[in-house]
Amino acid sequence: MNKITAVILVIILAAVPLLSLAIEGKESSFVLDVSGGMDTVPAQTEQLLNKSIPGKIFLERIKHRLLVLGGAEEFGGVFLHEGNLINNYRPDAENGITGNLQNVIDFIEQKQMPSYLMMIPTECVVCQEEVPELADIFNQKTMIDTMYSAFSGNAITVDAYGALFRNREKDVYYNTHALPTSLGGYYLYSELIERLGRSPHDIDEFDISYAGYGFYGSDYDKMPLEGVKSDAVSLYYYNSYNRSYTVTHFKEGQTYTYDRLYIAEYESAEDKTDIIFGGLSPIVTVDTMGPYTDELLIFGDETAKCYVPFLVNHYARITIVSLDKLTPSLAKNIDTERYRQVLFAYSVDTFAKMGSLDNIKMLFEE
Amino acid sequence: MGFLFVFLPLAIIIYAFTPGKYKNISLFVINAVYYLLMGWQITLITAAAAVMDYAAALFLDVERGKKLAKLRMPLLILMTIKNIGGAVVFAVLGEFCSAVGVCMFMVYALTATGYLVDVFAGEEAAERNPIRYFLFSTLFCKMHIGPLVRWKDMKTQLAGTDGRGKRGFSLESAGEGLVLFLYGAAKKVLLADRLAEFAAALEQVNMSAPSVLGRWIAVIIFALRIFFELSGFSDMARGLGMVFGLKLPMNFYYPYQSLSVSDFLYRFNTTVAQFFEHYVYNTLSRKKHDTETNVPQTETDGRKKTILSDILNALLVCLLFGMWFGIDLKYLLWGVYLAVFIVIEKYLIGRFLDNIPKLFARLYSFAAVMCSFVIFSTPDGYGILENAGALLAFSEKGVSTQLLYLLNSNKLLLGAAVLFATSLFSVMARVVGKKTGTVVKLVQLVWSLVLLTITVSFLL
Repeated sequence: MNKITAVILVIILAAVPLLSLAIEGKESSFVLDVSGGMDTVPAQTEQLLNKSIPGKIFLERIKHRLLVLGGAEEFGGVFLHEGNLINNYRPDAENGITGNLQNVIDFIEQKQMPSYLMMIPTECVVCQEEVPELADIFNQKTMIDTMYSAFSGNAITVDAYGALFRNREKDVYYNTHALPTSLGGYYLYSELIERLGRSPHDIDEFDISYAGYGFYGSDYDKMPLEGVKSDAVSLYYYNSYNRSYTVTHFKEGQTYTYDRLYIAEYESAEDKTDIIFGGLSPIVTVDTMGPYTDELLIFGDETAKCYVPFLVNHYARITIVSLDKLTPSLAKNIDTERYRQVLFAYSVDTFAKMGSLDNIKMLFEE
Repeated sequence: MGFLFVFLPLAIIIYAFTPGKYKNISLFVINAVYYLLMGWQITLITAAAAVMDYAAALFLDVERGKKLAKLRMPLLILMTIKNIGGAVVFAVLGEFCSAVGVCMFMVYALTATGYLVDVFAGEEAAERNPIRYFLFSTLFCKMHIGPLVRWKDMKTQLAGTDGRGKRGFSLESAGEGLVLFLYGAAKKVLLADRLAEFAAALEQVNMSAPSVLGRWIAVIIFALRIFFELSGFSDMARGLGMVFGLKLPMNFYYPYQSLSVSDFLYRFNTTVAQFFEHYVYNTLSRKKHDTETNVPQTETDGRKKTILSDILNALLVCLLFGMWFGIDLKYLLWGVYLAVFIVIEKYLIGRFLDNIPKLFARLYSFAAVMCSFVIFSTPDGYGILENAGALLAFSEKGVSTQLLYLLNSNKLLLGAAVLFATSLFSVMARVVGKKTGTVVKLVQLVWSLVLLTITVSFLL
C-alpha cells in the first residue's frame, strides 16, 4: 500500500504546479525570471502557487471551517455570529485621536461656524449581544464620551451611539461590510437632523428599492466562509415631493457629474455601496432642486453614504470632503464661507487613525 | 509550497528513474540545486567548507603514522575552529545570514567536525569518494535542524549494495517516507505555526491583563511550539531521507514524557545530545555510553575519575547543548539549569526516581523541564529573573476574560498539541497499523491526503 501511496502522492504533488500554471495562463502568462539569480525562483514559485493553486477558495474555506471548529470566533479582527460578520475594532497603541481633535478644534475656532460632531461607533460595540461572550471589546462609548467632552462649548455633539443602539435589533449594519446600512443611516440622520435644527422626515416618506444583491463586503475577505449572509444595498427615494439631484465629483484633474443619487453602474463595482453617489471622491457635492437655501459642509468618511441621502432633502447643497484624499489643489475648490453649518462625522476607527484629519489644515491658516 | 509541489516531486521522479549506480550522483545534483535555490552565498560557503573538510580528512587518514603525522592535530584543530567558529560567527552576525542559513552552518559544522575527529582517532577511514562525503555532510534534508548523523550511520547506506554506491529506489520506502514527511509538515504548519500565533496573542493578553496562569500557559505553549517546530523538521528530514533510500536517526522521542531531566536530554534533540556526549563527555571522562540501551559502560585508562570532573563534564555538555540553540546568555543558563538537575539526579535522587511510579517521575520531570523553559522562553538572558519573578507572583489574583476567550478560541489546537506531544496517538496508530487489512491501509492513505489538503490550506 505504501507503493500506491507513493505514486498517488507524487502524482498529486506534481499535478498541482501544472494546474496552477494552467490557471495562471488563463489570466496572464507566467514567466520564470532567473535574471535575479536562482534564489529568486522559490519566491516566484511561491507567488504563483499562492495566487493560482487549484481549489484555492475551497482550501481557504477548509482552513476557516477548521478554525471555527476549533473554537475560533474571530479572524483578522472579525467575529462570526449566525452568518453575520462583525468587525472588532481595537485602537492602535498610538492613535491619532488627540491630534485629530485638535485639528477640528483649530478649524472651528478659526472659522467660527456652527459646528457639529458625530462619532459613529462600529458594530461590535452597538451589537454586543452578537459578539462572543468573553471577547475583548474596546469601550468605544467611553471613548466617544471623552471626545465629546473635549468639544464642550465648541461644537454640538450628536448621540450616534444611542441612535444605533436603540435600533440594534434591526439591520443597522451590513452583514459583511464595516459600515452602517442605509437603515442605520436613517436612524443616524434622525438624530443628527434634530441637532442641526430641523425635523426628520418619517421613514414612510421614502420608497425603498434594493441593489447589489449578493454583495460581500470588506469583512468577508477576512472570513470567506460559506453560510455567511450576503448583503444588498437599500436605496431610499424621497417620495413626498419631486426632487432632482446633481452629484458632482471632484478628483485631481477630473470632475464629473451624475443627475441622480444612486448610480446603477456601480452595481458591478467591488464595493457595491458605491452605488450611493458613485462612491466618495475627495470632494463630492450634492445639489438638491427644492425649496432649500442652506448649505452644509461635511468632513466625513465612507459612513457618509449611509446618512447623507436623507440629509439632501433639507439642504440646497451638501459638500462631503474626504480629508484623507484631499490635495492642496482640490482644497482650493472649497469655500468654507458659503456654508451655514459644518459637520464632522466619522466612524470611530477612522477618527482614531493617526493623521486622518491632518489635511484639514489646508483649509485654514495655522 | 514551492518545495512541496515543485522541487520535491521533480527530485523524486529524477531520482527514481536514475540507474542504480548513478543514484548518488543524481542525489548530489538534486542537493546542489537545492543549495543554489537557497542562494549562492550559502552554496559557496558550504561547498568550500566541505571541500576543505574532505581534503583534511584524507590527510588525517593518509598521514597517520607517517612523516607529516605531527601536522594532524594542528590540522584537526584548525578545521574545528573553522567549522565551529564559522558557525558561531554566523550565528552572532545574524544579519549576514538568514535563520535557516545559521542552522545549516551549525548542522554542517558539527557533522563535519565529528567526522574529522572520528578519522583522526582512527575510528573511521576517510571517505575517498567526494560525492559520498558531500551527501553525508550537506544532504539538504537534514540541514535545517538535523538530525545530526555520524559517518558510521551513513557510510554503509551511501556505499550501496555493491559497495560502490549502487542503490535502488524503493516505492515502499518512498511511500512511507512521504507520509512521514507529511506528518512532519503537518506538525510544523498545523501545530507549531498555529501555536506561534496563539503565543503572540497570549503575549498581548499578558501585557494588558497579566496573570500568573497566563504566564505559565505562555511557557507551556512555548515548550510545545519548540517541540513541534523542531520535531516537525526532523520528521520531514527523516521522511525525505527514506524517500531517497537513506535512514536517518530519530531526533525527538516525546521529550515531555521523560522520566527525568537526564532522560529529557536524550529525548529532546537526541542526536545533538548524543553528539556532545560522545565527542565531549566520553572523550573527557573516557566513559562510553551505549546509545542503544542507554546504559553507561565504564572503562578507565588508569586515570582517577573524580565526581568533580564528572560534574564539570556534564556541565560542559549541557552548556554546549544549550548553545546549539543559539549564542545567547539564556541558552547558556538553560544548559546550566539542565546540568544541575542531571547532577542531582545522578548523585542524589537517581535511585529514588527509578523506584517511584513512572507517573510521578514523569510529573517531576515535566515540572523541572517546564521550569527550564522559563529560561529558554525569555526574550533575552537579562530578563530571566524578572520573568521568573512574574511567574511566581501568586498575589495576582484572577484570570482575565481575555485569557479565557483566547483559550476558548483555541481549545482544539491546545487539545491537539497536548495529545500529539504524547505518545498516545502513535501507540494507537501502531495498534491499528498492526492489523494489516486493506481497509486500514486505505484509511492511512486517505488520512495522508486529508492531512496534505489541510496542511496546504494553512500554508495559503
